Amino acid sequence: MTKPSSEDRLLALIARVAQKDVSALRPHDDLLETLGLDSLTGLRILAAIEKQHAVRFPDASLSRLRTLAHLRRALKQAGGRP
Amino acid sequence: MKVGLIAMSGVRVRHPELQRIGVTLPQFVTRGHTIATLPSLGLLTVAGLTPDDVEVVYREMDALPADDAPLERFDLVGISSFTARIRAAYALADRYRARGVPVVLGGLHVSALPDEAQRHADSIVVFGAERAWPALIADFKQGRLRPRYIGADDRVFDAGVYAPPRFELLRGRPYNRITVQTSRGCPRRCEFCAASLRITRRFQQKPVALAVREIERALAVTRQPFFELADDNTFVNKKWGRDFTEAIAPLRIQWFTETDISVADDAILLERMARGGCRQVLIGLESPNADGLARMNPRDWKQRRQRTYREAIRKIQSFGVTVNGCFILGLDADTPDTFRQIRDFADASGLIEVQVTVQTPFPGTPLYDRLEREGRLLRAADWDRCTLFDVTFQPRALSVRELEDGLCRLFRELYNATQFARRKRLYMEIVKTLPGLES
Repeated sequence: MTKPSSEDRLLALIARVAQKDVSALRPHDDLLETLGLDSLTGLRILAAIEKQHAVRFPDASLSRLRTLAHLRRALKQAGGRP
Repeated sequence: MKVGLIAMSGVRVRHPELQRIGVTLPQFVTRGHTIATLPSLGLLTVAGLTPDDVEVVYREMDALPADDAPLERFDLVGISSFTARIRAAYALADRYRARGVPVVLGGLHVSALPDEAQRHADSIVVFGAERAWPALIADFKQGRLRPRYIGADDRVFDAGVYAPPRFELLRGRPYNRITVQTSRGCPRRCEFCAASLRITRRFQQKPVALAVREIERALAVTRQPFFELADDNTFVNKKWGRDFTEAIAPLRIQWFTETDISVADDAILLERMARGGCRQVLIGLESPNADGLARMNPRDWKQRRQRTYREAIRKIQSFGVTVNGCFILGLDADTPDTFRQIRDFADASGLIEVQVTVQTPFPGTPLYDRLEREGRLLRAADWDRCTLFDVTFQPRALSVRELEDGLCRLFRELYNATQFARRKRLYMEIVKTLPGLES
């Protein structure tokens, strides 16, 4: 059985926290607008990602983490564990 | 027969510096702006009270059409408006009446000043639309519209009186927030409050089943919206609150409501609120000082609770339910030091969101009557400036200029990028402590 990719895990986490179907989410889709999320749910997603990957995104960057592409880049920069 | 129900929207702050701040501080999303962009639950309820054989159209009007612009044709027009937009509502009513279309005016301002509103309408509805609107439509069909109808101010959720709002009139519009009401009135009876308690004889709670059904109806017509409960104080009745939050959990909605600080007294309720999708409660803290809360409520309820504010905020937010702490500037006990005290309280208390408004004497409130008696209203009938951010009265221990300048300075201190990021981080650290975050 193959291990889920880091991409799959990220999507699965977003789906669990947001309680939404994320199968159609594209890398540059705005998460809040595309999934119809409020800003606090958006922050819950970021918190869950930080916790799962044992990272802390810079506070000044939080407003910019709106897409899968942003999140992947931020995780890479933060040295997050896969 | 075709009835047009028109909500006057688009409250505009008058103070030029505040207008500028609103543009330069993107985080400055005011509660007033949010409220102004919500659909009018009152008119959707009026639509629900309209017989099936009458066509109903729902419209929102942010600005008056040009003088020579054609108006949409209706047989009867109903207009509802906040105080700050009432003059625009009157102007629209006058235009329709000049074209021979009868107009009905209703809402909180009309209920407070029926004689003023009557000058611009063929008929007015005072208090709620329940009982009044069905009678009005019946009379209109028979050509005997009366100048005034008195709506129900009690038992508005009883069978035979209550009708669900017609959310289907919103189909196809891009709302991401929808309102549902679960109660009317509030026992705290704050001197300044101009909300539903002014048209309600006593606090009334909608049965849980009715409230749930309304949410389900709204979900059927809009993409999963964020819900706002249009209540003065949702959790007065803690038992009802526990039942309601348990009942809506399977709907998996996210929602916001207004309540008072006593919600912190019930940990079971807080847990169910969190599990049921409550993201935020707005709580009227009003002042960080007990002095500022003197005589605000019967038996000084808020003053007596003031010493519990910080612990209550911590407790509520520990469940993942954020608190939007609301402060009012210009209270009689306020001094030039009050602005700093509010900022310091907001920082020290860990409030995830803060709202600051200017004390506003809305007509029909004890505050308005008192300030009028004391000769402290700056202008008569200054309705356009009842925006919650414009000063319409003489403060007791501040000049008007000090209040305006202090407000602008406080906004810059509360709503800048650093503070915004700080509050986001606070929330994220709380969320990480919640059970089951990643599961």
